[in-house]
Amino acid sequence: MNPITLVTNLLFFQPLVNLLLVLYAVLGRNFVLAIVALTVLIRLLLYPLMAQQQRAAKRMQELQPRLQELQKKYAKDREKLAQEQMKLYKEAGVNPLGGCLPLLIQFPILIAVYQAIIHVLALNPMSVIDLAKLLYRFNGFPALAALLPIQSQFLLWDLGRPERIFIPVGGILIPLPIMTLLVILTTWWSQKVMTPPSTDPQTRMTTQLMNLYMPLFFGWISYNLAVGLSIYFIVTNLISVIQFALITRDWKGFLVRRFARSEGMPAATSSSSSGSSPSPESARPRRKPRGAR
Amino acid sequence: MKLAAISWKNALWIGILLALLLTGCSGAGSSWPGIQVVGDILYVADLDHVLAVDARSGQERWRFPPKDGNAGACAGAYHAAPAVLEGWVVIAAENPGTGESRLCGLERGSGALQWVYPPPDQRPLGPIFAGLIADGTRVFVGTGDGWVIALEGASGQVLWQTRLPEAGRGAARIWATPVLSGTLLIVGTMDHRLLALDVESGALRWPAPFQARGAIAGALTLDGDTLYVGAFDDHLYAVDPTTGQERWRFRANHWVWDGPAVVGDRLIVGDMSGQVFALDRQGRPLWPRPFQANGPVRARPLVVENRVYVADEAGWIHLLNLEDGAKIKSVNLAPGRLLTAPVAVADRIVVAPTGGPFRLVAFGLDLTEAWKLGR
Repeated sequence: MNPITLVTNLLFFQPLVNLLLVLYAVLGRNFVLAIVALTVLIRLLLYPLMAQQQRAAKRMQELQPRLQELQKKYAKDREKLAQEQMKLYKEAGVNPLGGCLPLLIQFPILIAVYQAIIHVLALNPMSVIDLAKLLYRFNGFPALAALLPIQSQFLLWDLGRPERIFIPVGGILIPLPIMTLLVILTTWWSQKVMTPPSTDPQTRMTTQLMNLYMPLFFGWISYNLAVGLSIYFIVTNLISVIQFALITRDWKGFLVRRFARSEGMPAATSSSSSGSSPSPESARPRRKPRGAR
Repeated sequence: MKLAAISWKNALWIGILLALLLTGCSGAGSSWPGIQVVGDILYVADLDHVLAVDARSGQERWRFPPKDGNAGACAGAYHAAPAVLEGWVVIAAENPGTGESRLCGLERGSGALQWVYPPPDQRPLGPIFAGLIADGTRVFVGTGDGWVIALEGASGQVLWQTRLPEAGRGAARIWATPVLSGTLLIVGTMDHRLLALDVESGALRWPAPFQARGAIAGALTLDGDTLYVGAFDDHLYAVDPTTGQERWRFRANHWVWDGPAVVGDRLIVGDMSGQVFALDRQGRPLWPRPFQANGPVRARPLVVENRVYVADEAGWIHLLNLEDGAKIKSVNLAPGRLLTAPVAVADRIVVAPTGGPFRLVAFGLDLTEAWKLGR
């Protein structure tokens, strides 16, 4: 085993695998609950990072009217526009790239969680060979090994396999990818809720593409990989939305407002005219961010 | 706001990378090669092919699917050790995407496909990792979803099939190669049980299953009137095959996957910490200290005369003295991992590495290399 794999296993993957098994044992040998609990714990650990990302997203939203003003003002001078936008970001304490790091951190976690789910489910001999090296032993006793095999069946699904549910319609078997559809729906929802609206046409188009592409992409992954991962995606998306609402304190009817705002987004104007979007005044940072001059 | 456009492209690349990582991680082989030896011929199920190989020369007799042929419903991955009968070789073909399997009957001399069970228009079986075993004209197979099936080897006609009690919800998976004991077929399950079925009817026979505290995943060893079973609770169990009652147990240092090799009054067994033990028939250690391999010992050691051959997961094959467990020689085949038990045939010791450039490597009894068969 190469040193990088060894260190990654020791510090990250191995604790994750054992934690998942402990959660499975504690939660009445229900693997779905174990995945949900693991997802919640990971989100709690990532809370500072995610909160930072979501606050940045919220601030970006609040800056939209002012950015729009700048765009109108410097429509013919893109260099000046860029300067003024950067000045505005600095003044508001917003880093336009601030959301990238938490996003990047999530990818290795996603891969590790997927691997942990697959290993713990012990679906084939090769994964169990690896699992044998990962399980902690307590006082020399293989306590966690006694939990194997995991009960992988959840309602219609085998958590360790891609969902392949078919319904016969007129002699033809039609696929019914329920979990995949739930992943697509919740990914789209969380994207919709958390993506800052933009006044820039190019950015708006990019955002719209992302809002289409990401749910389909995660849907494609979900359809082709184990159902356990779909559960992780669904729970993650739901927690993201709840966390966003908590951080931005935008609970009351925030869904309605968000959808109204984003639907009307060529638009930030139409939503602000409805009174649901922050006014230019209210869009200014309520308190001066730390480090801002 | 050009930054956002760049980050969209980055996100696309990250997405593609993520997809490759996730799917790549799940696409590796699900098990190791399975070997069966009859006469001087090795029948090897190794991932993309099943091969018949002359053990003396290393020459390939045939392969399935043939280089220019279509495997039809038997296309897929091959792991389970084939069953070899008079005139027939029965293999299990796994669909790597779904894990479902079909049994396929090949003509023994040519490897030509003769029958498929279940036929292509019927739902396949669950995953098959356990080796197939034969009894004259019949073949017995245990599946990963708890079915035990007996078939006619020549035709693929099902004689009986039994779903083990409590199968489903991930329980009663069969990974362990079953063993025949008189009129009983004994199977081990991942949910810690040993069960005995009537060879003729498939009916359960013992009053209650034998219950270990860990999964029973490896080959069972029957020697005389005692059945030896390794389990993931770190124990090797000796069980009465007629009643399923435990006779004794030996605590190893880690999971015991395959049952022991038995020679004379000695049992040689390895564990997943890499330790190899010699025990007497009461489960008492015989060597001054266990032999420590360089990696986990999943596979049953091989004993030829007074020599012990131990294959470990790090890719080493060790030659030990049977009397005291002292190491005589070691050979490394990394990057191949040795997860399949070594076999002795035609004065050769043959191993089938998992991964690496070679399907088979044959040694003389002193571990000098005889031949290699590449992938």
